[in-house]
Amino acid sequence: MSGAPAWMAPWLPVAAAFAAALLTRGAGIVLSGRVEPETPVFNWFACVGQALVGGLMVRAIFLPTSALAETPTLDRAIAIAVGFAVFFLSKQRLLFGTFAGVGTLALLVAFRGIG
Amino acid sequence: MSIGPPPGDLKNPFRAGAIHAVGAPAIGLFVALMGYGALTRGMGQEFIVMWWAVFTVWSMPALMTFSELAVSGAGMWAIFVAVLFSNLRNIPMVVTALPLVRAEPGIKWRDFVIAQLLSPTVWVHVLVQAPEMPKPPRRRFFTGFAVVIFAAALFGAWVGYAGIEAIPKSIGISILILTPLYLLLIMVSVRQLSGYLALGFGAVAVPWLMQWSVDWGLALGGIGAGTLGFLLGGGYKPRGRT
Repeated sequence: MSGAPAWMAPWLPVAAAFAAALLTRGAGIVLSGRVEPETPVFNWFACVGQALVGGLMVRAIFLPTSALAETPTLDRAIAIAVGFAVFFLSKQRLLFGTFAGVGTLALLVAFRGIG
Repeated sequence: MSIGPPPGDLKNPFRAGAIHAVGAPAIGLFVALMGYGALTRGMGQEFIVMWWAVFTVWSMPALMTFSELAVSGAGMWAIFVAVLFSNLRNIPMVVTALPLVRAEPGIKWRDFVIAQLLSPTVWVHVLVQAPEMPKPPRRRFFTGFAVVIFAAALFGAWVGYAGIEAIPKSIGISILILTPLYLLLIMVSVRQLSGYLALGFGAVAVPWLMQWSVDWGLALGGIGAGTLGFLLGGGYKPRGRT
């Protein structure tokens, strides 16, 4: 960042990150103009998206870099299992499943005296 | 809220979408960005820089990459390349979301608004719920939905940066599981064999490969697992909701 005025220094990294983000979204927009729903190409992109997002979510739960890492893996697995069980038993009610999972983890965290 | 068709009253689609986002979707992003705000404060990043990064980059993996590199004094080119790779997941999300919310063919300037506001939460809702809606109100419905999510996230980033110490740690930790669990629950509702398989393969391959390389593992794991699910699940068949 040498050569740039001092006041610009914090903003140049933001500009670089914005440009990169814009490029990926722009590429998506251009490609989307050529892709129709319910076609094999659309299905492939949807599958890649599901694999990417699903993988990131599983990583966030079981290999967390956040404060979640302070909880035992078993507790997180129990919370996820309870969330899924309640979700399907309640005829796929998202809020029931989500908050059952969060509540289970909160109880386990309190039980173990973490935090 | 359950998975399935979105609310029936679509006379004002933007408002209906905004209301639909209030609850778990908005809380999830509020909490996720609260964590990010708190993290960046710990890193010593300026609030206004962090907040503008959320506003412009709007992608958690890319934001984490950005903050780690920015506070360590990395150059603009390094930041550009790293954010580009950590943002690759946006391409399939945008490619599949826009055709579902477009009422007319061709690329319009409004596509940029949806693309910029798209997050995994918004994308999964588009994928599951857009096909259940008539085409004309879709764009405004999901714009309203995405704007509320975005506002909740910006607010969460501010709260996290300004006052994370005020929240009991046990609650703060437990809430971090909300967004990943919420998104996984929505994703298992996509009634498509190739989608299920891609999700299952991605759940194993992406975290495993990301231990080797965060950026390359994400890209290779996502493309490999997605393609495997696509092939084994028969997604190559035309009109393949298999």
